[in-house]
Amino acid sequence: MKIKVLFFAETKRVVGLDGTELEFDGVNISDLRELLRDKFPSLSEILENSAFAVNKEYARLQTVLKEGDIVALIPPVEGG
Amino acid sequence: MISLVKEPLNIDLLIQSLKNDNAGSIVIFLGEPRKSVEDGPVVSINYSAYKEMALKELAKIEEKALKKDGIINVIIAHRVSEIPLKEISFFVGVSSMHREEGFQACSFIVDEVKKKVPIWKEIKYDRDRSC
Repeated sequence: MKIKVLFFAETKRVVGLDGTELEFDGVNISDLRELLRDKFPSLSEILENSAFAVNKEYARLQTVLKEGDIVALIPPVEGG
Repeated sequence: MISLVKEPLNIDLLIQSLKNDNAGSIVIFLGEPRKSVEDGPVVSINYSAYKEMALKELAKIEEKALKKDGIINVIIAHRVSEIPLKEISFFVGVSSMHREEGFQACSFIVDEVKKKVPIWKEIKYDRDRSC
């Protein structure tokens, strides 16, 4: 299935992209995290501290993904 | 009311919007860039956001705050642009029946925004003065 992944702040600077579409044959966010680690080794460290959102809602590592989901990689937030 | 805006915040207007005949208290929090941090003197802070999600998270925080006893109105406004020193980047205002619940709600909102809303900052340093 195809999953769109969005990058922000530090993750955007490291990857050099706003987002990308990935062919994903895993099940959940945890699997996607491994795929991102493989595809973008420079993200490895940030992935440890980042959260994920699926379709604009925070998600857990166990959250199951489906075709067309938009997943955002959320590095530690710094508003305020 | 919640908002993410590029332009400077009109603090007087925001405070005016909080006024209410039933309110005995208006508590305001203003966030602004610090002049210097560990890595040196600061020129500005550039805030960015995952805007659609940030608005959803802000709306959830607003809703939770409005459900607290005695809270009459809530305004949360955050700028998402480059903020020079002396300008306000973040405004939280709470009008309430009494001051105590206003202070508590304001503190709750600031903490929640800092924990949950996908907003990030990139600090621009004054390299001429940092050496």
